[in-house]
Parts: sequence; C-alpha cells; structure tokens
Amino acid sequence: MFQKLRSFVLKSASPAQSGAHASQPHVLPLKTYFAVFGALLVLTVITVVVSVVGLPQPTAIIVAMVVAAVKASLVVLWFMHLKYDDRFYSLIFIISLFFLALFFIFTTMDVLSRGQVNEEESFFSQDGIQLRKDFMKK
Amino acid sequence: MSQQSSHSTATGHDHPKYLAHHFESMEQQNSSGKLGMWLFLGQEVLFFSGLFLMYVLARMFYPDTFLAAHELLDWKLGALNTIFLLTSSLTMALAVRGAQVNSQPQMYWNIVATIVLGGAFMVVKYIEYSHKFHDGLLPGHFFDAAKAMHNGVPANIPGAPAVFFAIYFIMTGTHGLHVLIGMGLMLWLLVRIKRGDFNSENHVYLENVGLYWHIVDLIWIFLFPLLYLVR
Repeated sequence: MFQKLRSFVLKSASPAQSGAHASQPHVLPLKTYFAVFGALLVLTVITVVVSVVGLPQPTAIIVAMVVAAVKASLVVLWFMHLKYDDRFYSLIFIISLFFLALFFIFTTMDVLSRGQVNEEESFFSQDGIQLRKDFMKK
Repeated sequence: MSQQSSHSTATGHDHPKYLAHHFESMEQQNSSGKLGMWLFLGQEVLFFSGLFLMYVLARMFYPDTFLAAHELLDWKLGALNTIFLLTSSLTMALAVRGAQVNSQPQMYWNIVATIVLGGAFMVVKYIEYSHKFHDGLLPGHFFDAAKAMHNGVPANIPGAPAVFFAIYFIMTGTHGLHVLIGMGLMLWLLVRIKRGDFNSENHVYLENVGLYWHIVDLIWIFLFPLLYLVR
C-alpha cells in the first residue's frame, strides 16, 4: 500500500518523465478554462434553483453540499492545477481535508452523544432536536 | 542545473539572475515556493474548518432559527457575489496562464480584472452589511429585533437569531478580510509585472497569489449555499 502511495505521490514529481523541459510549465488550452468556468456557472444556477424550488430538508442540504463539493473540485483540479501539478501538493491538500473530517466527525459525535453518557450533560432535551431551555444559562 | 534557460544572464554565473544561490535549479526553487504555499493553504482549510464546524453545531442547536433567519439575507446579492468571485477565479487562472506563455499584457490585465472583480465583491458586501447594520440585524446582544421590526424586517425569529447573525458576520467577515488581503497582494503583483519580474520560467509568486485567491473562492463556494440558501 505504501509502495503504491509512494509511486502515486512521486509520479509527476520526476521531471524526466514529462519529456519536455521541466521548467516549461504545462499550459492548458484557453477553452479548458472557459469550459470549467461555464460548468461553475451552471452549477451555481443549479444550487439556486434547487433552493428556490425548496426540497425537503435533509435532501436540500445534501444536494447543496454535493454541488458545492463538485464546484470546489473543479476549482482545485483545473484553476489550481492540482490535476497536472506535482502530486505531493495534492497529498498535502488531502491530508488537510482528512484532518478537517476528523475534527468534524469527532466533535459532532461528542455533542450528539453526551446525553447518552450522562443525562445532565446533554445539550438537547428529550425531544431530541430542541436545545435544552437552560443551555444558554449554563 | 539540468537545463540552460534562455533567460540566463552572462554575468559570470551560469544561472538565471532570479535563481537564488541556495537553490540547485529553477524547478527546485519554484517547487519549494509552491510547497510552502500548499502548506499554508492546508492551514487555511483547517482555520476555516473551525468556523464551518461552529456553523454546523449552531445549526444543530437551532435548526428553526437557521431556516427562518436566512430569509433575511438577500440570496440575489449572494448569487451576484458568487458570480463575481467565480469570474475573478477565471481571470486569475488566465493571469497565471499569461505568465506561462510569457505574455506581459495577459498577466497585467487579468490581474487588473481580478482586482476589479474582488472590489465589486467587497462593494456588494458593503451594501449587505450596511443594510444589516441599519436594521439592527447584528451579532450577539447587538441584535435588535424591535429595530428590525420597526424597519419592516420580520425579525421575530424563534430560538437565537443573534447566534445566526454572529455566525454570518464572523464567517463572511473573515472571508472578506481574505478578499481584501488578496487584493492587496495583487496590487503588489501589478508593480512586479510592470517591473518585468515574471516570465514563463519564473512566476511562482504570481502562481502562489493565484492559489491563495482560488482558496478564497473555494470558501465562498461553501459559504454561499450554507448562509444564503439554507432551504
């Protein structure tokens, strides 16, 4: 697995492989940039339309976040050149996303599950969703 | 020092004048600069993740407040700002491409366009903020529902609207500060482009400011649906 990861990371790092001069940057055709920009605009319209139509709650936020994630990927892969650049930069970016996920998952789990350990510590009332009335006074 | 660049100067050194002496080659110098930038961008992601997590938890605590309070934000202005930032990302990418193809005017005018679009974003932000200030839709105990109602804004929101506006101002404010910093960096870039500092071999400064600008755009891509389109 590590061998695989290593070769993935080093794949574009070695200048000899690209054939051309390593100091000559990889120039994308103009139409690629405009295509990415067009896709970003279309996705923006989709988010707005989905919101105006008004989907039921859990679906709406999931659709909005998936569209935002696709937009973010377009920006990162093409505008920020991660698709063509040294894979090591991708690795750094992915690591930061990994720690972001850890941060979100464990903090959310903590907040949601406190009541199961000790009723007194719970942020939420028995109804589950409503914040305890005395929370603000704590 | 694998290849000789056409930009080498004949000053007794066999390397380009912009290659610092502690680097082996231009590739090494450029990739070191970019590595530093990506580490910084990783830090930026983690920095903003704290703000986004605050949003997630507050929304878990006050789901009804969030659904009601976002109606007080104007999604049309948010969408306009999204288009401004996406377009500025395009012009920024084109400026970097301009450097790659050695075109001074492409670099210069695309950076000018990026600054103008960033400025347009800030102007819209200013309009939004001044409306919120006028209506008393402010964070924490500055939140003034009576004033808002008096101005005809339906601010009788269940739960804690002050928390929603605290999050709105902190997140968009931090993001706006990043936009201003980016614009400042680009003004500096304009000076350097005019000075002829950048060419296809040496433009890692321009590229790094570009990467920073794209990450600012990326954060707005998530802020826009979360704050303006919570439905």
